[in-house]
Formats: sequence, structure tokens, C-alpha cells
Amino acid sequence: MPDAVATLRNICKTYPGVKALDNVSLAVRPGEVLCLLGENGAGKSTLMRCLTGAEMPDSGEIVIDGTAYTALSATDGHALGIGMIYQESSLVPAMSVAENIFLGHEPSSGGMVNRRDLEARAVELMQRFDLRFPPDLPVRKLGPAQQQLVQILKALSRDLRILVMDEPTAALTQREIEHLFELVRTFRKDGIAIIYISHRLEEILEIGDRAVILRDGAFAAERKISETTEAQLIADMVGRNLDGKVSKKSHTGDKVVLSVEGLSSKGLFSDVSFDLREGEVLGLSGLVGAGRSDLLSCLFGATRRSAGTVRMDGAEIHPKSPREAIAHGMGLVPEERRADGLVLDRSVAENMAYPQLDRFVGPSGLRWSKLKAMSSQISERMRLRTPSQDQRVGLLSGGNQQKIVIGKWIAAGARVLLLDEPTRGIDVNAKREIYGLIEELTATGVSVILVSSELPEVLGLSDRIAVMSAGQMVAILDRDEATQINIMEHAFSRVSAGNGGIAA
Amino acid sequence: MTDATVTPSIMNPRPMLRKFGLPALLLGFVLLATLLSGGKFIQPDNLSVILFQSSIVGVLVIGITFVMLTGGIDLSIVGIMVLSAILMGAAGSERQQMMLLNDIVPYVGPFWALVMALVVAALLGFLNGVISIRFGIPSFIVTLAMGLMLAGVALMVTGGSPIYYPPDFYEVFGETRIFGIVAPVYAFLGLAVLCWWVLKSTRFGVSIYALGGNPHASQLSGIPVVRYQILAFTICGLVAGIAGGLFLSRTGFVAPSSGGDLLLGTIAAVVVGGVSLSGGKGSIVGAVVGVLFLSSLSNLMNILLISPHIQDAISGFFILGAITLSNRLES
Repeated sequence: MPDAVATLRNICKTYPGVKALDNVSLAVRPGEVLCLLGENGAGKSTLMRCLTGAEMPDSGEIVIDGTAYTALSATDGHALGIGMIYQESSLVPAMSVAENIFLGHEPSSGGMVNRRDLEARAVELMQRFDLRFPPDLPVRKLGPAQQQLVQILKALSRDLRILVMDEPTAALTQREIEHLFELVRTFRKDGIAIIYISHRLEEILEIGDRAVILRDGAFAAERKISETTEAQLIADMVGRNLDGKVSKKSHTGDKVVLSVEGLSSKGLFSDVSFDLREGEVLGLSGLVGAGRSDLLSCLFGATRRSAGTVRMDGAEIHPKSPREAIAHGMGLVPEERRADGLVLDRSVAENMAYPQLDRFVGPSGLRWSKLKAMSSQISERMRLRTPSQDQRVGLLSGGNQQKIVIGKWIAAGARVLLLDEPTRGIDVNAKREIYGLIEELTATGVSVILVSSELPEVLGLSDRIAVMSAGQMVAILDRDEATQINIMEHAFSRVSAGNGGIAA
Repeated sequence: MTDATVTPSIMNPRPMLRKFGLPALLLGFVLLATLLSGGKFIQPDNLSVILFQSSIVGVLVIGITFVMLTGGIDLSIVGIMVLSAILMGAAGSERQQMMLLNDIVPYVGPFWALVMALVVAALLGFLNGVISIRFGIPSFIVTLAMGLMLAGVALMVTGGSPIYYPPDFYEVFGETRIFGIVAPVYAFLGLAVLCWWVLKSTRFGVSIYALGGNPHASQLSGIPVVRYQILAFTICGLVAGIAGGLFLSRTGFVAPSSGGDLLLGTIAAVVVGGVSLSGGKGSIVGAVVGVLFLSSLSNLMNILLISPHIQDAISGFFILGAITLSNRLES
């Protein structure tokens, strides 16, 4: 077995109020894919930030090539060949592909950047990995998957020995993931050490060599991928045995709550029709870019509709803003919860109350006690883990944040919930709690449209599954006829080469 | 529990410092100033002078806080103040009417002149908001242009000469004392309390923090983001108009050039007071403390007979220090 390229020893890190890392040790060897697993808030990202120099550990050491460092700076990280691809894009949207790839170490002489050289080297790098982007194209014109690849190229543009990938497939479609895995295999052959962080266990079983599992900021277990199972990994993460399967009773009633006919939004999707019944969960499947999120945002009045009718309880509605849609009893849980779902600097109570502030206005101003009583009642129902209702939302874990985004609609009494990737990037336990909540809500007659890229989730939770492909609704499948295979077939049915924004 | 345990805030000094850091700093400064000045600083007379000197900037700071909480800025605030004061003087005083070099502003009587000036101020704020929010132009640019334009309008309506004879009641108001403190101070503090309440206890106030922190999420939560953003600019304009009235009552006259370096002082005080330039963070209390701190500093330098030539440099140094410190506490 080759020697480790990097060893983290007894790393500790404390944030105000949170012990993020507690005595964690980890070694990475060249040419292996080391998977880092754990629920949200388990400390994976923090540990990696210590390795790349983005964060200073409170104690412990990082040994690279026999030299022990107590802390690395970002510059040290680069110089030692450690690269990281972040969950959030670290690209500059207005700059070109080539400029982004070589950002911070542009080929230059005497302080002047040699543009031709820059682009030539970018093209050369792309060719090595069989990728083709116009080097002078501004990054903002690329789709998320392509941006992801540019981020990888950016990391590779330096002499790379360790590549950290944090949820690299979150925004990718199945085909793009396949392509990414091919790249990862190439890197492995080249002797690069890869640290791979993902919540998707099937990916880890496919691509990983070894898994290290963290729990609550501490080392929990280490497994060889060839000798472990999904159930085992989940058990390691949560510290007990859990059945990974999702299944939900049907609570579909007879009454049609929402009826959509011929709905179109220019350039995004067209001619979408479906009915949603009381207590029903309608899964909405499809590839990234098929128009699923756009459909939700159009129903919610956040984007314009160009044709079609929407009826709620038989009466036509025309929400021109989210405010109007909310008045009709809708609620949207957006895909990007931090960017679109929450005001991170404000308290739990305030975030819970935003859709219905009017309700708490008395003759002498806002009644904070009433507002907080509502908020703690919902928190209790959602099993929200927060020290108080005054806690800043930004300090909570992803799963708890998501509970607030959903909770505010429960508080507002929404009857139609539009859930866009409600469990993306949150830990197994929180996921199960959210599944339970969907069950509980539908039992009381709330209807749900569920967009999710995780097929087992869609299959387990939905009463019917609608599939979108390249802006059209191509099928609505009953629960017992839907399988991962026929959903994917429908999802790809309108995607031909060069259609639907699929990269590479 | 899957989350790491969260220590109660009492054990962690930072939230405490964040909450009380600025008032504590002000208290420390008062003690130091008292020692340095041999007790002169803390004399009630001197403190009431500081309050009086703070009142105009203080009112401007209250107005601009609304806009800054939404993530915008209003650089025309002093322009609005000066123009309102000119309207109050020119349209409100018969004596001033005879002195005017042109007939642009008619005589309407002191009361209606005050009303007109405040309405114009609010409208100008509204205009700032509409142009910047509806057309998506950064408020920095919109209000910079508006400020320049208003300076021009001020020159135009006065023909360049100062307004020396505003209606008498401004001077009367400025000299009325209650418990030894002049009326403008009460106006300033009263407005501060009112706006503090508005931000804390109204739907609008809570929403302002939300949309300043994350406009998109606020929009998707049904908060009328655009309407409230424009309302914040309107309030800022109106408050600038009120500052115009206080200016007249303090100085007894106003010239197109009266704004001087008030704008920089206002922004410095707000930022020292912990109001974030990117929106969503800060409070009226903080902003007012910021004003009091800077006024106290300049008052102390006067007591200590520090040469006016180096006072600005010292102020600048302290502003930098205070901002750096409050930034450290934030992060």
C-alpha cells in the first residue's frame, strides 16, 4: 500500500456554540477514492476546509510529505497540490472559461496576462479530459453541470495531488454523473488522491475504494467499499440500524384541489396539464432543466405564464406574485433553501412568520409573544432542534433549516405544497422526518407536488408520478406502474443530442 | 440529537458583546472623556450641547437607516434636507419673499410651507425608490444624481443667495427649553423612539430586515418587497425634510451650500453604529449611538483645545477603529 499523501491527525475545531470537529484523524493515499460520509453537520466539510487551508484547526496537525503543519493557508494548500470543488460554485460568472480555470495563476510575464497562451493552455487541459468548451465563453452562460466541470478543470490546472469533491453530483443528471465518474477514474489512475463527499450512497458504492464515516464531528467508522452495504453505511452514519426504504400510505381523496390545463411559460415549458387531488402526492420527475422547477415557480406566481388555466377548487386563479398564490393557499419550498427559502440573519420565529405577518399585528404593533408561541408550536411539531426561537437561522444545520422552510407553510395553513428537492443535501435522519411529515400532512388533506431527483424518494412518496422532458409533461404514471427504469425512459424521451441542456 | 450541542449564549461572550458592545464602548468613552477633560465633558450643560449638535445628523441617520436596512443607500439625503429647508423659509416668510431674486417659490404661509416642504421631501424619496427599484438601477447612482440635481434646484430657486428670514417659529422652536434641553433634541429623540418602534413592531419593520437580508426569499414568502423598498426610500426622504426644519431652527438661516460635509458625517455615523452597507443588519439604537459617539468625540476635542486642523484626522482614525471593531464583533 502506498504511503499517505496527507495525514490529518487529531484535528479539533470549535465554532461558537458548536464543536464541529472532535479529534478526527484521516489519511489519504495516492490513487484512491476516499469517501467521506456523515449526516449534515457531522463535520465533513469543516474537515476538508482544514485540509485545503480554508479553515484553521484549533488543534491537531496536518502532515504532508513528512512535514507537519499546525495549520495551512489557502496558498499553502495550492502549493502542496490540494484542490477542492465546492458545493457552491467558486467561479466568477462574468469571466471566461479560460480565465476562471487559471484564476490566481494566470500565465503571465511582467504582470501582463498573455491571453493567447491562457486560452491555449485551457484548451490543452480540456483535451486531456475530453471536454470541449469555448475558452472565451463567459462562465455565466454555462449550465450548472458544465460549471461543475470548469471547477474541476480549475482544480486540475494546478499540479494536483489531492482533489476534494464536495457533493459534486448534486446538480448533475445521470448522464453527467457517468461522465464525472469516468473523470474520477482517470484521476485515480493518474495517482491523484480523491476525497469524495456525497449523500448519495449508491454513488459511493460505485466509485469509492474506502469510506470514512463521521458522526457529530467525530470519527465513527471506516469501511472498505467492496466489503460493505448501503444499509451498513447508513447504520454507521446514524449510529443505529435504519431501513433505507421509503414508503407511504396513500391519502388521496376524491376532490380535485388543483387543476392545470395547457399551462405554458415561454421558453421554459409548454402545454402542461394535470389534476391534483386532496391529500395526494404528485411526484414530478425529470432531468435537470426539464422544466420541473419552472413549473412550480409558475404555479406559485413567481414567473409569468404565457398560456393555460389554473383552477383551485374549481375556480380559476391567476396569481401574479407569490403573495397572491399564498393567499390562495399555496406554499413553495424552493430548491435553493439558503438562497431562496430563508433569511439567514434573522431568527427562527421571524422566518416562520414571514408569510403571515398580518396575523400577528395588533393595535399596538406586532405581538411578538403570539408570534413566538406559533413558532415554538410549529418547531415542536417539526421536531426542530434549535436552542431558542430567537436563534439565527443561519447557525442551524441544513435539515433544521429545511424544517423551517416547510414549517412556515404549515403555520400559514397552506393546502397545496410545492416541494422542490426538499431533501437535497440534508442528513438521513432529517430526511426521514420530512418523509414522515409529508405523510402526516397529506393525511390531513394537504396536497403536495414533489420535485425530486432521487428516484427512490419519488417512488416511495408519490401517489402518481408525472414525468417532464425538455419542457413537456410526457407521462403521468400510477404508483404501481412506475419504476426507476420507465421513469428514466420517459425523462429521456425528448432529449436528443444537443437538446435539453445536457453537458458533454 | 444529531446536532452538536449548542452552548447557551451566556457562556459565549460574542453575542453579548454584539448586543451591548457599542453602548459599552460609548460608556467607556464617556468615562475617558470625563477624565481627560477634568470633568468638563460630563457637565449637564455640555451634554445638552452634544445632544443639540447631534440632533440634525441624528435625524438624517434615522432616515438613512431605513434605506440601508433594505440594502440601498441614499446619497441625496442632505440635498433633500437643504431643499426642504429652503422651501420652508422661502415659501413661509413674507419678509424672505421680498428678498428673493426670483418668483419661483410663491408665499403660502409658514404652516403650508412646512407641509409643502415635507411633501416634496417625501416625494423626492419616493422618486429615488421608484427609479432605483422599478428600473433596477443601483440606489448609489440614482441618489448621487438626485443629490446633484437637488443642489442645482436649490441654487435655482434661491438665485444663489441664502434664506436669512425663515418664519419665526423655527427660531422659537429651536430656543424652547424643556428641563434645560432644547426642543430639537426632543424632536430627534422622539423620532428615534418612533422609528425604533416601527422597525421592531410593525409588519413593515420586520419585513425590512427580511428583504434586506434576502430579497428573493422574502419575495417567495409573500412579503411585498418592491412596495416596502420604495416605502423605505419615501420615509428616508420625509425624515430628511424633518431634518431641514431642525436645520432652520438651529441656524436660523439656510443656503444652497449649507449641506457641507453632513453627508459623509451621516454615513460615517450609521456605519460606526453597526448598520451594514449590504442590508438586513443594524438598528436605530446602534445608529443613534454612532451619532452620539462622533459628536462626543468632536466635542471632547474642542474642550481639549485640539487644533481644528488635526481634528478631522483624529475623527477619521476613530471612525476606522470603531468600524473595524464592530466588524470583528459581527464575524
